[in-house]
Amino acid sequence: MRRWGALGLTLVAVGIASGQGRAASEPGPRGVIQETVDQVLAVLNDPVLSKPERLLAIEAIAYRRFDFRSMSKQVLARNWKRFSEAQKEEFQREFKDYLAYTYGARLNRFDQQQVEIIGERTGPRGHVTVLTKIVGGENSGATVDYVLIDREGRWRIFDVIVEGIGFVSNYRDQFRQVLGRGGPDHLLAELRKKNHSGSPEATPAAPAGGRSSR
Amino acid sequence: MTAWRASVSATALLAILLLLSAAPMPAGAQPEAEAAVADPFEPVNRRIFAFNEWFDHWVLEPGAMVWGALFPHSFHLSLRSAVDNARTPLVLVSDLLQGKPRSAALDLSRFVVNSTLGIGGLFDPATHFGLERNDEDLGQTFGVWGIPAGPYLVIPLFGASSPRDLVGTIAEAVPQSFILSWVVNLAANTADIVNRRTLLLETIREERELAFDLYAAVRNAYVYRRRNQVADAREDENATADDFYYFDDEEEVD
Repeated sequence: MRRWGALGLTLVAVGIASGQGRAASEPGPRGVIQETVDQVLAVLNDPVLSKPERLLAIEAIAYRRFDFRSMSKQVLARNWKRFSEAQKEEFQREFKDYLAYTYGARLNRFDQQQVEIIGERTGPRGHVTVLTKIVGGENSGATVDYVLIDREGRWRIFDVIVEGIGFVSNYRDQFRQVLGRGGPDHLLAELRKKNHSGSPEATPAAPAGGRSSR
Repeated sequence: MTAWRASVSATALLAILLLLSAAPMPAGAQPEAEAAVADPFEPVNRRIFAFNEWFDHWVLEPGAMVWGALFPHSFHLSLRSAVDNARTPLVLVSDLLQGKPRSAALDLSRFVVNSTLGIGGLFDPATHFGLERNDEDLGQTFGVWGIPAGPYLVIPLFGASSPRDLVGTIAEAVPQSFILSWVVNLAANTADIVNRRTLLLETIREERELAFDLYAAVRNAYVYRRRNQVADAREDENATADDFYYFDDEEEVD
């Protein structure tokens, strides 16, 4: 009996390991952050990559991990309703490029650090915050929290909070100002301007890379 | 008077810190009623902010660029490290006032190790020994005691603050003004500010480019970062309000 039990467990383990794409094998919030952090660190510690290359690589990670639709709604909050369907579409597209670039640009400043996952807490509405801390380097001790939500069995990031400063709250405040000045069209124009200002060597694969980082 | 001078320098330090998290153009922005952060003096604050930006653009940033060209990066890091070390006794006071004897002991060890082995704090061997830096100040201490920050303030040449943090900053500047003559004080603080600004040249340039409303970005960063520091000291479970996020089922809320 015991042998069969062990075999059963092994089969289950193999099934989980090979069952990519199935909901049962998707990592939990902590696992998602661990993977994301490992990938970002691998990029940051890769001595072959130039700074612009690192930026593009981190942007690519953000594209896979972030739930840009949720982030767009969170950032516009009550103003989301002021946008027409077409404007919503465009906002999501442009904000996605902008966010990926911003995330990449900010992480790109860090060198040779480690990231420790220090905890996890579940919010009242099912979102989960994974708390991490930077260890070593010039920013040692800085806290980076990731807020995730379950989207059809996959945990996706929709807010990143660095030292208490959240992407969502920061852009919500800024966009509120911009919207107060000129409404959705004005905000979209500003976003486009940010995304397309920069060097001409834009990479089609990662549209946000069109901005010069230095 | 001396206290004021010293406090100016300390505040400038804060201002630089703030700049770290922000960035672009306050093109005649309209203050909005519905703000996440209490900012009743927004119109005045925005003017002072614009002045500070002007000052940074014409004085501080160019000075920092010259400073950056004159000395190597390792020198900038060492100088910052030495100033942080010299400020450790103040951190220790806040540790004690917050009732955290363990942190105080740790900071005392750091101070001893870095002042000796670290040659007056130019290097930071303490961190390598696992003695990590605590980041405490009087403003945070008041927060831990339950004193609210009050409205957001922008101080000329200093940058972002609040009544609570401003009092803390001034109080922390007093001892320094007694220990050092005002000339030395002024020189030391100016060097420190320019040095820190040098270390942030790229970051601030980049953040300015990224921001949609630099004023709002800096304000938000300052207020939330301070809240986070205070919450951390109180070991609050959750610094973010539960109703902060909107979810699908309620997105039609208005």
